[in-house]
Amino acid sequence: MTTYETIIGLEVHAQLATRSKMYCACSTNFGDAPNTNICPVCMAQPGALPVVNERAIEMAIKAGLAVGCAIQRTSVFARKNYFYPDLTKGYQISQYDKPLCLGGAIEIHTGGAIRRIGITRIHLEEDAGKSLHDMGHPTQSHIDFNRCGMPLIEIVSEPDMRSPQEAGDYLRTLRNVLVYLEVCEGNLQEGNFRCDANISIRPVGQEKLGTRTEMKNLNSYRAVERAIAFEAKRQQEVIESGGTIVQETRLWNDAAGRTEPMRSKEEAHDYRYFPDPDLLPLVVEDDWIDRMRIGLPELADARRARFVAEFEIPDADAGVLTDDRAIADYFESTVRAGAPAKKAANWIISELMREIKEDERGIAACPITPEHLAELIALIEKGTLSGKMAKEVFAEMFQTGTAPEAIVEKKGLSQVSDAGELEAVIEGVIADNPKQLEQYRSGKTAVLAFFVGQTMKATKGKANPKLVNEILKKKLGS
Amino acid sequence: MSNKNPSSDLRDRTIAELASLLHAREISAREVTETYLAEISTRDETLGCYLTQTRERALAQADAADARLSAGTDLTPLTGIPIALKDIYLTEGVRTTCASRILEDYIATYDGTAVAKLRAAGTVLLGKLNMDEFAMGSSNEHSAFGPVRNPWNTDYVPGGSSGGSAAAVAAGLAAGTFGTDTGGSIRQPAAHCGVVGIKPTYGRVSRFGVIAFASSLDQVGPLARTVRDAALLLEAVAGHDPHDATSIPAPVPCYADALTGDVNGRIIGLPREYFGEGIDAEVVVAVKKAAAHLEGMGAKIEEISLPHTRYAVPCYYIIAPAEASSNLARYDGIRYGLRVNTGGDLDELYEATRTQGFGPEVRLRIIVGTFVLSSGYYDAYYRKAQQVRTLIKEDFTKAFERCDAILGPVTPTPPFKLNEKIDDPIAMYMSDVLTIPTSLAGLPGMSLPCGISKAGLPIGLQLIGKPLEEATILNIAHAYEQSTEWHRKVPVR
Amino acid sequence: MTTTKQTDIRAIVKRTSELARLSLPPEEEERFIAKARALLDYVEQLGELDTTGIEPTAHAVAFAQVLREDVPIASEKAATILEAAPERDGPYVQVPKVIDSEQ
Ligand SMILES: [Mg+2]
Ligand SMILES: [Zn+2]
Repeated sequence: MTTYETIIGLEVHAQLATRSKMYCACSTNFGDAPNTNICPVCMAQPGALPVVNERAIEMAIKAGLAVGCAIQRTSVFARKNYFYPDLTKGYQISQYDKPLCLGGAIEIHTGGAIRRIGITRIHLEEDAGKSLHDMGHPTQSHIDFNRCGMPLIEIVSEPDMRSPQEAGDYLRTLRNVLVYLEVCEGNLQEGNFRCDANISIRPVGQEKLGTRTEMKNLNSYRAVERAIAFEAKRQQEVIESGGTIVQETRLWNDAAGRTEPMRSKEEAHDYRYFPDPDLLPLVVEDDWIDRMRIGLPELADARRARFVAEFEIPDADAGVLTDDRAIADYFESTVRAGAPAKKAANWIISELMREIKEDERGIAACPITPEHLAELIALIEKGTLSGKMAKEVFAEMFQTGTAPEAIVEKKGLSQVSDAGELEAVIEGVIADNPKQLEQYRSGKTAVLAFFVGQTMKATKGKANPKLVNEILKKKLGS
Repeated sequence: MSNKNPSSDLRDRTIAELASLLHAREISAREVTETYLAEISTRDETLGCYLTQTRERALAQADAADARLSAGTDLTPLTGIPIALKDIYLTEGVRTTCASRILEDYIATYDGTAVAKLRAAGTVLLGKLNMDEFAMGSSNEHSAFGPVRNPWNTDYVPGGSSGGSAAAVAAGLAAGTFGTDTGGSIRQPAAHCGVVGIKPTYGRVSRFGVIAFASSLDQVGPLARTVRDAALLLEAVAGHDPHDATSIPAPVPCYADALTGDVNGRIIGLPREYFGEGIDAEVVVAVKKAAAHLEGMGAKIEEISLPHTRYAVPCYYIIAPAEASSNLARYDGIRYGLRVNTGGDLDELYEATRTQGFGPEVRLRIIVGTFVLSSGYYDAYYRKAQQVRTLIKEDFTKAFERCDAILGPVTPTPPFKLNEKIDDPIAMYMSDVLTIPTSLAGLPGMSLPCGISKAGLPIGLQLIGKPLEEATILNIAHAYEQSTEWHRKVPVR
Repeated sequence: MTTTKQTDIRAIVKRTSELARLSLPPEEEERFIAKARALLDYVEQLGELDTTGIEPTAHAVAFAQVLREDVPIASEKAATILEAAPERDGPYVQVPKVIDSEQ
């Protein structure tokens, strides 16, 4: 039986985090009342003209530099012509044969290995308005044009991915890069990071690519991964039953868990791209590119390596921490506030990230400041809190945002670390258990655990276990 | 034809003359405005220049101008001057139709940049002028709201597409007007109506708020009775506009100051191709006479060659329809304008709206433009035309290495009659054969009267300048105008 | 130069009018097709010119484009623009139901 491999290329549309739209001064604010962020330009009133947002160009240059693209000194805006009611001008101003960024790659950590995924190009374009099909009217759609003209970059990958997981990891890494650069908020729910997937299959060993289909409506990483898996299987079934793959656009139906052909006549499309006569070629001088390059922040991979070198934490932990710029920032702040790096990493990875896992706001949803977390760790280091107590305090901190000292005080949680006080308790425990003392002295040192337990019981668990151990050994041995 | 005598009739005054009378408070802006409004009432029914009259607004603006004039503050040479605009200019709160059914009831939602500047200058808007639908035409017969007639002889066309703008000035229905020129749409009707019209360098005036026909060619420009008036109007609207990325960020000279009348030593090129086959003998004689006149004033006349001239019209009829097909996609019945709801699906709505909304010439150009951009034909048509555009532009670049200006006819023939060319698009298109090359090269070009045909219709003289050298051609035109009598000739009222 | 002589002008007109969302009223069809043919035949004379290696000109002017600063400005015209729409439902523009999305 033939074994097939899946060939995946992704087209990502990322909304740039500018304050105004791509070609007009309307606000990009998300969630404003429908049709309030509209003007003659984005509503394609007669006679209105586009003017390019400088910041959008800067953001696209940064994205291009971060993934190793060559920034083109001259690029051209082109019109992509088609009719659709949420596309006001009857064309989208995009870039076609002369995009701003060409040829780059990103490395992704996937399946325990590092893979290099090529980036074909990054170009600038604009979003369309939002068509709402379910406003309670059986025959009418409603359009909100607030989104119309929002700045986008389209990032086209090479067909370098071979599995749904690789595709997912590529998307996570790419999103991470854009968020690190602060060029995109990367919010999948708000639709400012969207993805179409091109999928084909071919027998392993064959060089020629198979016919591809394009998948749309992929609204989450999971949808991307599921759609790819489904589509690869579907294509294989078509081929194995003697059919041929038709080049077409298919929509992912998330509820039904399958891809479906689009009902519109795809073959009727002919976008008639041509240079937009309203915009001159975009000229990007070297010094502009240099300024953008200098301003690039440290990206995830570099930061990961630095965390390993500077803080001596394991690479795996550094990977987890740097996967989200905000968490990496949080970690560094915690360390700067005095926490030992390894301890800080553990607390963030095992406790904090678990708490925020379900919250789409991420670390922004965490009421614990890095300074408070550092304080909590310091309390453990000092012996004021046991590990178990610390978790209790942590839970309270997460609920209320209160400083750990205050919680310790309020709950009277401080552990007994006064050697004198403990010695008295321990002497009592030993005196109460002569049989066990005998056993210990006869060489059954395992009975030490019994004395520790008794001491903890006597102190209601507040005794510092390390100190209890030390004192017990000293007293039992003499 | 009659010779205008210096008279007290306000209709015969140039803008420059009106301005000095207004500034001296010898007349009021209201008087001038009322004079023009009365004239429009009595004579425009025959001529068809105005699509919309803004009478109330005009009177209010005139009163505001009078207040400014009385206060003596904030005055410009255009304060209180009644003007009118081709109905392609967006005027907030005023119907703006582009002479198309698809915008028949469209009230502009904003003022374009030129309109805002004219308003700020204190001009009085008399109304919106007839034109060929979406500026596609050379006779003004393609207006959805009826043709404009040539004031010199109403059997004849006024030219187009700014036919209403040219006829209104010639007939004295506005002190000055604005048109747009894509392939000759200011210069050709100016020539046919015996007035002055200038298409500035592409990018000299903002296109923001001017309905697009072919964006890489469209330019805003004035039509007026004299070169000085045209210079005053042009200066009021010229300059960089942050709302138009193709507007040139260069300072605007004082055009009126450039009108010295001195052409001594100026080298003026006469392109061989502009006097050859297909050019009417009457036109050739009139234009050559004008060249000789300028030579007599000290200019040096040299024959030059613009070898790709004959390819300009076919080149233009690929590029302009291509851009138009895209520019006119926004008229879809969704956000404004005509919407023909058949009760069917969206595609039916689009088709019904656009088919009923656009006239036949506009539909023809949209279809041709869609075709030349379509997959498999782009290189052979659109890209090829862009390459030819390069050759045409280079012709001018070479010519301007020697010349300060180029002189030739504006149109191959004097005005033609209504319906004469309506069914023969190529014959119609050929009337722009001498203006299109300039448009493709983005150069400033102007038209001014230089003769009257045997049939009693005006003949125009074209001057073409280097990029941003409007002042040079305006001065040559002024020198010619002031030493001849053609600008005093007006059609019989 | 690929010429329309090799292709059926009717097919071209039909296909392009679909792309342009125009229909041809039957009574206009013959006249229209004749005009389209005349125009396309006419522009084909550009084929006489050898343009190998000639850069295409998209714009007659050459200067660096002026960009816009990223400063949002509240649109005062939003309500007027919305009111211009022939069919509305509350704050929305209404159109016959559309299926499938485009990018
Ligand atoms: Mg795209
Ligand atoms: Zn806007």
